Amino acid sequence: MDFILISDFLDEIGCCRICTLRFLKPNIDDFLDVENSLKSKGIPINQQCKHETKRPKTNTCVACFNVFNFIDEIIMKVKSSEWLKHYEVKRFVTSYSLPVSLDLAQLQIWLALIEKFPNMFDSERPPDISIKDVMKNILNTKLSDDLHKEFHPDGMMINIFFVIDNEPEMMTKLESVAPELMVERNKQRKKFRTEIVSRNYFEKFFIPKNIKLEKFRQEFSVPPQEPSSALQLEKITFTGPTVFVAGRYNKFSRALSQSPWILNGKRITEGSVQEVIVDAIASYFKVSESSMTFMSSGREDVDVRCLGRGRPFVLEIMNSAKTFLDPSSAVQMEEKVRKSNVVAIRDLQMIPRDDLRHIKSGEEDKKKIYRALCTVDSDVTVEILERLNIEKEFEIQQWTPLRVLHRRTLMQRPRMIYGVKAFAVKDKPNLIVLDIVSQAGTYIKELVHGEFGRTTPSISSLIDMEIDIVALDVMDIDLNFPKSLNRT
Amino acid sequence: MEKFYLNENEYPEGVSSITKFDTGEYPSVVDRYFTRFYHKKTSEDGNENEDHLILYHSNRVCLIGLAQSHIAFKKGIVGITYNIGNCDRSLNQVKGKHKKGGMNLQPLTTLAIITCKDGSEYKVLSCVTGKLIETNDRLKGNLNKLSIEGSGYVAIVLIKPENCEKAKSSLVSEKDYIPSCSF
Repeated sequence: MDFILISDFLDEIGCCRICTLRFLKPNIDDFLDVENSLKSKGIPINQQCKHETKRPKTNTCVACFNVFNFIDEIIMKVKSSEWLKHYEVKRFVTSYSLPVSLDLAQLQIWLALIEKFPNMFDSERPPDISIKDVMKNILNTKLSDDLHKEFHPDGMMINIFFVIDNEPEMMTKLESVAPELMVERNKQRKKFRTEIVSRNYFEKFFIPKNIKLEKFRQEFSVPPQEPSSALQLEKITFTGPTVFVAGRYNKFSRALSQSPWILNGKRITEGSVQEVIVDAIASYFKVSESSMTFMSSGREDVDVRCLGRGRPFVLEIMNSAKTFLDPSSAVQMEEKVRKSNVVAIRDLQMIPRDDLRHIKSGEEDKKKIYRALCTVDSDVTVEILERLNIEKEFEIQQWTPLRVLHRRTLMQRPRMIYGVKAFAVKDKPNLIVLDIVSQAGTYIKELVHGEFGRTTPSISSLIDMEIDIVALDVMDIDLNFPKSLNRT
Repeated sequence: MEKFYLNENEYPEGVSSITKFDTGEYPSVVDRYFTRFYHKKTSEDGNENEDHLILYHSNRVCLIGLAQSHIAFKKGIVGITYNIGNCDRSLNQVKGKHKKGGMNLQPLTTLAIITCKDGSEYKVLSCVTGKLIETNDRLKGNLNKLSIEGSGYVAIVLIKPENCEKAKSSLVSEKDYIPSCSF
């Protein structure tokens, strides 16, 4: 490839040095010293200036609209931002929002290069290293030094937005240039009510292979003219990393739902496990409660307590200001939740995103241990108790319970019952306590009374008499996640 | 019996044993989840009670069955069929969360036909506008179940949210219900 010819051509149409280098098949690190990299490709420095007298008005690069001139301003603005103090994180990433006009300029240059150097440029593979990648490379290196933070995908995100004035008008011309490419896009637009073309869509479909040059030339010049409107740095925003906090919760109330129970805009019960926990944790990570997502290994009904080690849960915290949880703060959060008197949490800890799968797997295939308080019409006998001490596992078939039928598919689901133990209660002859070990997903209330024959066998069918469940506790969830911390 | 007593000392401090739960006024399964409604019907000559019982769940699921006062119980029921001539209701199938494919029912749609000892037949009606979700195949061979509230349901019908109020107002509430032909 003749770099000097290409460099000459790009210089002539009004590309800046960085952009010239972008089209000369460079390595990404070449942009840290543009002059030297050009020199090593055989482009003499003075040659870069050769045409300046010929084209005195090329103040704005036709390819990048002088986006690289903003680097110092960006660094200055980031460094002086209040948000830097807000986010107590050691890592960062950068993201860029650039106008589609820059993609259009790339296409104009690309078409010109193919026309001029037909054997050197492909009509599908981009001819250059993208502006975004060059910006990233230059800025990440500089910011890393200036902010004393490490560049890392898990870090806080510095979002840099550029805008250009008359972009939408220009984009309407695309319709006449390549109507066939806009058919699909217009379908998407109706659905998502979005801009004329997104950068993604442009980059994917508006490539020389799909463009008829003559038609394109009717609306846009090839090579491009100097931009008529200027690129502006619109804003810089910050987004904290997403972190995950896991723990186990106990629920001591029979009138507390796991998530807020709101029906037709009206609250049915006051408070919820989720709200109590989120409320104790949000301020530490400096987030609002709405940017936390509560996940758990299953859920219990509003009138069911969750005792024992408790139920594993994970909070997804978006836009977090911290990426660590020190033990003393964790203990404070646990104490604050305990003060609610209805919820307790333990083993609170940060977990990596990968560990989420433990919670999800816990929903389906883990054993759950329950204790049910049941009533029978007559007095409990030794025969009944002996019949209900079942060591051998057995399978039941459970039709979708009527109480959830409106939102779940009607089907018969097999569930394993791993064991049942029955106890009598002193001075209360019509009560039976059942300890039941079952597969996750078993509806225990229906397992006891059989729900009009829709769960078989049921505790009721096993003893061939009516038995009803009046109270239920979760005693344990057989999932060793998150790890026990043995804090007191 | 003593060896079966529950050891209640295992509970940690501040957590009460499950046996301390007050079972005194605890309602039955039907009373916990459902509201009773009735559809009053008499035979053509007006002498026989053919009342229906509708157990209405707040999630719009209805269990349709016969009221205790239905004449068929006095006569003795010897058969039930979901094959009502032009259509076999027991072949009903629903798919997915939204119960696609369930037969559409009007209040006077026949769900099933029961036969009595004397050979007389009675139609079981849907009583509400909705979608057929499930028929009760456990009734065949266990016809005495028909008289048990809940277990004796002939069909499960799901009412559309917008039709719930209309359905309820077209039925007789438990408070206002007087069995037909009880003069």
